[in-house]
Amino acid sequence: MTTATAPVSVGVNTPASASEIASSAIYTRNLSKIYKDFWGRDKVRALDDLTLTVGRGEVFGLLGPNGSGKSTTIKLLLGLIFPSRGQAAVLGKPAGSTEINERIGFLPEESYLYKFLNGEETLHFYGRLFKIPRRELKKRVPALLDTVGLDGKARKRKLREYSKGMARRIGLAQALINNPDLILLDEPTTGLDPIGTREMKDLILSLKAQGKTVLLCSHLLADVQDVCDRITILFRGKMQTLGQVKDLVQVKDITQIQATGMTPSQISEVQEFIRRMGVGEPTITHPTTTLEELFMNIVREKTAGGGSYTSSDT
Amino acid sequence: MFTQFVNLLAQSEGYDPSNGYFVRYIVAIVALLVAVVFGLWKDLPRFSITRTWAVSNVSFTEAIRKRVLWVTPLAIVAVIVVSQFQKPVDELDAIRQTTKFCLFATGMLVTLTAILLACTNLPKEIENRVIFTIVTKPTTRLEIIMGKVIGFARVSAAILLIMGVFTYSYLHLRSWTMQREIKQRLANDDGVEPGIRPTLEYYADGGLLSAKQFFTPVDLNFYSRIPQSDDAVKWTSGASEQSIAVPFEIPSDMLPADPEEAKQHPPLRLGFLIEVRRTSESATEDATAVPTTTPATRPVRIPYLPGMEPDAPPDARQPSIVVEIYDRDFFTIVTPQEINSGRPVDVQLGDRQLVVLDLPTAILPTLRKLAAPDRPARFHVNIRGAVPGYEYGVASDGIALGFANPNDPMGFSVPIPPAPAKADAQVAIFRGRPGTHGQQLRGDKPDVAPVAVYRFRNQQIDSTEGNVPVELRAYLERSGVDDADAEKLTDLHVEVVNRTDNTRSEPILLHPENGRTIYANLPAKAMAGGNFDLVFTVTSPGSWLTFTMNNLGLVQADRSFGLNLLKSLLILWLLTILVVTIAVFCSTFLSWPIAVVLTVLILLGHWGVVQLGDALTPGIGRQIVNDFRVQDAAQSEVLSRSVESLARALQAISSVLPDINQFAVTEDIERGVWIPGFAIYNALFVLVMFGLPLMLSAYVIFRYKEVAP
Repeated sequence: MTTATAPVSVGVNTPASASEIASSAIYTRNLSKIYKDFWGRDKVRALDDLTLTVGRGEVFGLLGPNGSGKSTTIKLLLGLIFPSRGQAAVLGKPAGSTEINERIGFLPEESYLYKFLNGEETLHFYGRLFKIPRRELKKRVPALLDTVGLDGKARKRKLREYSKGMARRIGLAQALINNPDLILLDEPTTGLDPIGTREMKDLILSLKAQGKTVLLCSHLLADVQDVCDRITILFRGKMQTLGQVKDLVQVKDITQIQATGMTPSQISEVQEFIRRMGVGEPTITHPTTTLEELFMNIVREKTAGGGSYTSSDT
Repeated sequence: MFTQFVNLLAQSEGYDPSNGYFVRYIVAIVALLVAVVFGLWKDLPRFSITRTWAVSNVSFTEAIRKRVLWVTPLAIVAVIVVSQFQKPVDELDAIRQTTKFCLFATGMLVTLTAILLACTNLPKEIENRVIFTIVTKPTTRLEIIMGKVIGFARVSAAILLIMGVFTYSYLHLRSWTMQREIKQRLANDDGVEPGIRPTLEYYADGGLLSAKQFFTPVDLNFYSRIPQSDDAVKWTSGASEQSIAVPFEIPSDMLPADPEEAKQHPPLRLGFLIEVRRTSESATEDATAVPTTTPATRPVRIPYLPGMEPDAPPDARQPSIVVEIYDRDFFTIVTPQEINSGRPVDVQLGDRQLVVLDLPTAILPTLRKLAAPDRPARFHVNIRGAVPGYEYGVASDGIALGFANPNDPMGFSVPIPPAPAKADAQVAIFRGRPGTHGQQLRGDKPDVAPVAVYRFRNQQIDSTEGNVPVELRAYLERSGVDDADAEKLTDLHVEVVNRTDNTRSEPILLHPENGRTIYANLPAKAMAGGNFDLVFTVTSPGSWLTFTMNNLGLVQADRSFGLNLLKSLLILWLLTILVVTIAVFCSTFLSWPIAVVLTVLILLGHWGVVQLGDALTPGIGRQIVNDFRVQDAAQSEVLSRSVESLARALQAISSVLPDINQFAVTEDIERGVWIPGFAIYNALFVLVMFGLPLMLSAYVIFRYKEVAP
C-alpha cells in the first residue's frame, strides 16, 4: 500500500517574492529555533529550517507528536519567542509585530486566562486590549459567549471554577473577540467532549466559510482530517510532508465501491466478476460509522424533544 | 573610560547642581536614548491609554480579589493595640506617638504590599503563561509595563486611602478626648503644676493636632551678652564654655598629601583682631565655679591646657585663647595641643589687638583628608577663651586665614576667604558648650547670664497685631544643685530684639522641663520689619539648657492637619510608585524572590552608603592597611587600592540609586510641622529621575524577553 506524496517539495529554500509574502497568511523560510544552555551551547533544536506558505482562507493543520515543533512554530509566529534563524511573516508583516496582532486570534494549548475574572469580564478585558468601544463590547460579548456555548450562569462564574471544556470555550471566545483574519488554534479540542469537539470543528468550518485563515495545531489526527484543507507533519523539528489532506490520505492502488441494498447473491456475482478481471481477491465488508457519529446520533435523538446542551452543565 | 565614569558618579551626591547632580540627568537621558533606539520609536506612537488602563485594571482587580486590602484591618488593630501601651510624656506626646504608629504602619504596609505584588506579578504571569494571551494582542510591552505600574499604584492608593481615613479619624478622636480631659483638669485645678499650666492651656486652646509652619532662623549663636547689631563686635564667654568658629574651604590640590611634603610647604597663617574685657565680679565667681560641676548627662568634654584648668591657681589666669580645628560637623580634627606647641596664646586686657599665629605644617595632610575629588576640604578654625573671668570680642570680619608669606611675618601669600554655609549666615559662628543634644547655654544671674540668639532675617510678617506662638523643646541639665533646689523651677527668659528699629520686647518668663516642649506667645509687633532676634537667657545658676536649630519653632501659621496628612500620604504614594517601578523592573529579568531582594537593595542602597559615612571617605584604604598592620609595601598598596576602589564603587552606585530620605514625612507630621511644598517636589523629582529611566529599562528588557518558558 502506498500513499500519495505532497506535490510541493519539503524544506526547499526558494526565495519568495514580496507579493507572495503579502498575499499569504503565513510565510516562513528556513525558520529555526535552537534553545541554548547557560553557556550559549546548542541544547535543543526545536524547529529546523521550516519553509511553509499558508494561503489566505485556508484551514491548515500542523501535525506531529509531542515535541515535534508544532507549538514552537506557533510561538514563533506570534512573537512569544524569537527565531534563531530564518524568516517568518504573518499576514504580510514580520511575525510578532504588534500591529499585526490586531488581526490575529490565538487559542493557546491550555486556556491561560486570569482565573479571578468571570467569563464576561475576561472578554471585556481582551476587547479593551483591541480598543473595542464598550458599547460595541456589550453587544459582541454575549454573542460570542452564545457562539462558544457558555450560558448565562457560566458567564458570571470565575474562571477558576470552570471545567476544562468551559475554559477551552472561553479561550476560544477571547481568540475571536477581535473578529480576526487569522486564527491560530493550538490543540483546540483538548478537554472538549465529543459534542464540544464537533462544535469546534463546525466553528472552524464556519470560519473558513467566512474567508478566514485557520492554523490548526493538533495531534488528534481525526480532527485535523475532518477540517483541514492542507496539513504538514513535523517530526523532531523538521517538516516531513506537506499537502492536501485528501491527497495525502488517499490509497491510490485500492478501489472502493459502495452500494446500498445488495442481496447476498448479488454480492457473490460482483465478487465473481472481479475475480474474472484477474485483479486479485476482492474484500467485501460493511462500512462502519465512527464512534463520534454514533455518539452524536444518540445525543441528537435524546435532545430532539426541545432539550438543550450547554457547557454550564459540565 | 569606565573608571572616569565611576569617578564622575562618585562625585555626584545630593541635590546641589554644583555638586555633580547632572550625572543623574545623564543616566536618565542615556536610558531614554537606549529605549528609543531599542523600540520606543516604534511603540510610543502606538501607545494607548485604553490598553494601559485595561492592563492596570486587571492588576488592580487581581489584588482586590486576592483580598490584599484585608491586611489594612490587621494594621489598624495593631496600631490601636500598640497605642494603648505607649508611655507618653504628656498629651501632645501621646498624639505624636500615635501619629508615628499610624504612619509607620501605613508606610510599612503599603511598601511591603507594593514590593510583593509587583515582584511576583510578571514572573507568575510568565510561569502560568497568562502573558501569552496579553502579548499576542496588539498590546506593546511598554503598555504592559506601564499598566502594571499604574495598577499597583492604584492598589497602594486604596491602602493609603483606608489607612489615611483611619489615621485621621483615630487621631481626631484621641485628640478630642484628651483635649476635653485637659479642659476638665484645668477647670478643676486637678493636680496641675504651675510649670505645666501654660502648656496645658496651650493644648486646651490650640488643640493637639497641628500643622504648623515655622519661621526659619538664619543661624543660632551663643554670646556672653546680647550683641548691639549684626556688624558689631560680639562677645564670647571664657572658661571654654563658648567659642568662635569660622568656616574655611581649601581645594585639595593646595594641600600636601604626606608629612614629608608638608614640611616644605608654607604654613597656614591665622590672623584675628580680638578684644578682651573682664566679666563683672559676680560673673567671674560663677564662671569659675561652672566647669567644676558635673551635668546630669555628660557633655562632650573639652580638654583643658596645662595650667588652664578651671581650678588652676589665680596667678595663672592671664587672659589667653586656644585655637583648634574642627571638621565640617564640628568634630575636633586638630587639638589645641598640636597648635602653638600646645601653649595658649596670651592676649592683653583692653584694646583691640591683632594676633597672628602660624599653624604647624603637620596639620596640612590632615586637612587634605577632608577633601573629596570634587569637594574642597571644609573645616572650622575655632578660637576659644581659655580663662574664666574674661570675655573675648571678635567682629565677623575680624578673622583671616591664608598661606603664610615667607617674606612677610604678618602677610599671606595666598589668602583664603571664609566660607559661610549659607549666604546670609554669620561668618563667625559663636558656639555654646557642646552637649548631648546640642549646644548648651549656661544659667547665671540675670545681669551676667550669657545668651542664645536665633537670628531671623527678611521674614514675611503678615500682621503686627496680636501674638506669635513660639515653642521650644527643652533639654535641661542642672548641676551643682542640692536637693532643696532640685524642686525649684528653672527660669528661662525670652525676648525679641527688633533689628529694624533696635527695640526690645518685654522678656517673657518660662519654666522649661527636661524633654518637654514649652510654649509662649511673643508680641508680633516686636517682629515688625521681619528682621529680629529671639534672645534666650537662663537666669537660674547651675542650669544648662540645650538649643539647636531644630528645637525652636516660631509659628508663622497653623494650617490644616488633615491637609498635612494628605500631603504626607501623597509623598508616601510617590514612594510606593517608585517601589513598584523598581519591583517591576527587577521582575522583568529575575525570579520573584530574587526580585524582592534586589528591590530592597536598590531602595535602601543610597541610604546604606550614607550610613557608612566616614568609612567611605578617601584615605580609608590607608587606614585599613594601618589597622591590619600590613607591613609588606606591595601588599599594603594592593589592599589600600582595593579598599579605595571598593569605597568609590559603593559611592558611585549609591549616587545613582534613589535617595529615599526625600520621602521621609513621618517626622514632620509627627512633630506637627507643616510639610513644605518642596517636599512633594523633591519626592516627585526623585521618582521621575529614578523611576522613569528604570521603567524605560524594564520596557527594553521585557521587549526583548522571550515570554514563553
